[in-house]
Amino acid sequence: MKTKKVLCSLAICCLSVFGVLGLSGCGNVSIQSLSETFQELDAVYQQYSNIFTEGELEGLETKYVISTYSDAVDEEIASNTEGYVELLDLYNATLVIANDYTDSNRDYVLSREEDALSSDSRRAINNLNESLNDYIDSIHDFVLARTTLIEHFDRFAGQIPESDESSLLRFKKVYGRMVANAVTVSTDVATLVETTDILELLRKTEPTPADTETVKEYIRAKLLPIFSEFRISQIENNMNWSAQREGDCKARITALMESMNEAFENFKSNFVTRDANIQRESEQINLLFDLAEEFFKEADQFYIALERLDLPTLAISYDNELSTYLSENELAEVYLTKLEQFANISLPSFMDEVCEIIYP
Amino acid sequence: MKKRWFIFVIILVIIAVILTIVFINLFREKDTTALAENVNDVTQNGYLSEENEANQAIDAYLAQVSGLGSLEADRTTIENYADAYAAFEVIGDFFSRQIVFTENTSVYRENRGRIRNAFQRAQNAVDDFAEYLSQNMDVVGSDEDWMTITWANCKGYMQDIISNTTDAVTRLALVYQDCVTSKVMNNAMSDIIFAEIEKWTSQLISEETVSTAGLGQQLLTFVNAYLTIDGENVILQFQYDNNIKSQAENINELGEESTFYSQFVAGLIEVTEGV
Repeated sequence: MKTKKVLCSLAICCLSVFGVLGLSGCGNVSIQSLSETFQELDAVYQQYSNIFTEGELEGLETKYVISTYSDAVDEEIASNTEGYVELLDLYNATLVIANDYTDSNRDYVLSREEDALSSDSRRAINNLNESLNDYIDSIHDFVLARTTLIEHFDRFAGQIPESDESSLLRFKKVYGRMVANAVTVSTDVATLVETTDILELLRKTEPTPADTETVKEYIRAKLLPIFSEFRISQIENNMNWSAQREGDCKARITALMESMNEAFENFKSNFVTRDANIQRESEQINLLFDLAEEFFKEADQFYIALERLDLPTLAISYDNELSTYLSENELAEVYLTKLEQFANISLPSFMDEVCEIIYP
Repeated sequence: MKKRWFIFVIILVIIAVILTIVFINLFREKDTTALAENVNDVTQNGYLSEENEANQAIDAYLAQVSGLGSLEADRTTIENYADAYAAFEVIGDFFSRQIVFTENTSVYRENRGRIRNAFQRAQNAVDDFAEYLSQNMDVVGSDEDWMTITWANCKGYMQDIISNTTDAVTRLALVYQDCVTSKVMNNAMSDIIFAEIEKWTSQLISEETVSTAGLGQQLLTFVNAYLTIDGENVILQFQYDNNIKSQAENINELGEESTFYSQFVAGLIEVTEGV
């Protein structure tokens, strides 16, 4: 009898484990739930409508221009002061570009048939819902941090420069997290679009100018994290780069930053404000898809190199001494070389080629 | 009583199996960092590093013996070995930059141990060679007669270095072709480059062809053209430069019959479009 009880317990235990594992595939987010999350986001923007204002930025009509900070900060931004001007031309610009894609594709995403969703689409919806929730949380944090920044500069601006710098850096970390989350949302929207039939249809049919624009915006959404990860997440969020110790390694990374900045300007002028109003042949659109597919695999290597190089540790803990850093990170030189190659060759080559195709 | 023990043992076995599976998955190599660090170590600190003392001693020795009248018959072989060694430094650096970005596939797992062992055997040969030079030169100096007499031993070391390094490099090329997922870096251009390198290295390890004049120099010129940091641009631009694309695909298809082949072998295929 006891034996039977033990065997039964074992069987129930195993079945429970298998059951839990099996059921872990359940709990998918529905289109309806995703729609509700988007509505929550709308409510947050509404709540902070005095901060997220309407205006034009980077040639885009947008609802996401961050309204003024304190007079002292606004003055520095208007004067293009390094460290401050990035709040507008990097952080806000990236936020606007990311949200523009999300907003443009929101209706398409929410109009998908629930029953027709593939497993890839379901996974993409789950990820998008999660990233939207993260973004919403980071907006609240951003608003709080902005208030703290304004209070500091209203009361103490210019009295202790180090204190101003420290306050700005703290704010940038929080702002950067919000921007990174916005970029993740737009990337997840692009991933979800990938899983639907629209891009496949574009491959098979003769594309119209609107279709070419769709492809261009999709590529734009996938390119954006390259810039935000490098400049915002790695550098601006963690340090005042110009204050770091000078040396050969710093010069190299500064050159790398200049290449990425140039690429970002190229990206903004060609992928954000310029209309792809040319009708292309389907063969060339297919070529574009193939090039993009291969390029974004290369971009994955860029992200790996960026993460593993760990620029903040190199700059702050090792004073930009690459030779010393190699004792902790053997492959640091390899990662830095990959970043340089990507910024100087792969990225500009890809963007130029895309422009060749969509703007002949 | 016996039944209780039996059940207890069954439960223990099940738990052991589950824990084993968990720990294997936890510690299983998931990326290619291990091999990348090995290759990086060989090229930055080991025998494929220009700054490596043993490398420098061997290079100096080969430069001396290649000029000896008494070894005129072996001169081209010695020069080929010296140039091939320099070429392997370039090839090693190339793979050192790429391997960490490859995927962990079955081809990677089959070859990583063998690559490591091949490099180790080559390193041992280099160390033994350098030790031999150091011990004997201390006694007799850079005596021409001594160099002539000892070349037979030194030739053996060089053969070991070249054959083991060739083995490692050939396997690295296999891993690269299987595991680099993007056509930006893995395409018809990289295929024909590796195929050509394999052609020359197989001649270097053959007694019949190792003395072919200019063999090592050709290999060195070739890898300097296509596998240095600047040179690999020709691989990167394959997708965007129609000239490179058409030439590489033509050579891939026709081999030595291609009209672009001699230009390719001479290291003269260049980026003509784009960045």
